[in-house]
Amino acid sequence: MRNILLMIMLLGSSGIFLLFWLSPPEVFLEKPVSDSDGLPKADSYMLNISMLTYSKTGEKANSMLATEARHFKRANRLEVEKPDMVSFGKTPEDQPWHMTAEKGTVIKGGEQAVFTGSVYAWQTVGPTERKELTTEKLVLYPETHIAETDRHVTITTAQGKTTGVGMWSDLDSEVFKLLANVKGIHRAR
Amino acid sequence: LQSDANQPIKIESDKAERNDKKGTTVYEGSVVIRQGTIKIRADKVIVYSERNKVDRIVCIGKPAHYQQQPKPEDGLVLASGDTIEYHLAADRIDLLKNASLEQNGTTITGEKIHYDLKAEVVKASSGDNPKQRIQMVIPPSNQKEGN
Repeated sequence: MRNILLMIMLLGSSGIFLLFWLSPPEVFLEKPVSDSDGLPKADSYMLNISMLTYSKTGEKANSMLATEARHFKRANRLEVEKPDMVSFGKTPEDQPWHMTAEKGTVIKGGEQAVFTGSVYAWQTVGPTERKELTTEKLVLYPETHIAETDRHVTITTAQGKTTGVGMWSDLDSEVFKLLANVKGIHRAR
Repeated sequence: LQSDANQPIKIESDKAERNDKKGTTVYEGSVVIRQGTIKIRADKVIVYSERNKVDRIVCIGKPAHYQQQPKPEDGLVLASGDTIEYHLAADRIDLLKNASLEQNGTTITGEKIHYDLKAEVVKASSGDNPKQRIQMVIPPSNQKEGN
């Protein structure tokens, strides 16, 4: 009886030894956690980016700074963190529009830029004043300088403040259409 | 009140279009304007601004309505017209077409009424339509005081 037990123990330990001996080394190594493991599968990942795009006629069109950027080639999409964009006017006399937000997404090869999270857009008006626009989401079409949102938006100028829900705007001709729940405050004197 | 003219102008509406190059803001749909005790209700309102201040407000309705408390002790001034033009610098409102203005029971109707807010002077005219005459109704109680 004792011999049988010894024989079983001997067989068992040699089996375990063989199992270890034949297993590939990677099995015993800790699975390497790469930096981009938690992130969606971007094709390229950049930090502290600075981008400058030109119009078809060679003028500066837009510049953008961002703390992080992820580019998805197949989807033709660039996701950026803390974007700080400048959209230059059509002529040198036109004041540029500045836009900052928590996040930005540039899609369709730059045809659309979607800003979300504390969106703040402003343009210098006159010597000291600013025209300011705040909302939670803003879609900008950089080539046509059209901007729109379906969210609550506030437009503030030296003359007063206008708020509404939903907006369509042609930044070049300075037309702002507020689509619902409009409230305006104007300075009388 | 006299202080109305210095109050900010608050406007509510269904939708609006600002054209900052032209200096206009057009409000449309159940528009309500408030400035101190002044209250205007209209279907459409156009605010004209110059050098960041409102110069003129044109209110269009079927009709547009205007009300104000000129003095604490006075009754409300109630006015209406197809078009009400509020000229801020001149402190005057013009009531155009189907114009009427009422205070303390006295009513004036006509084609055009100009109301000087500061002086509280009302001028009514038949405008371009000579057949349209001015009508004024003074209730009895006021007549006695007037003699």
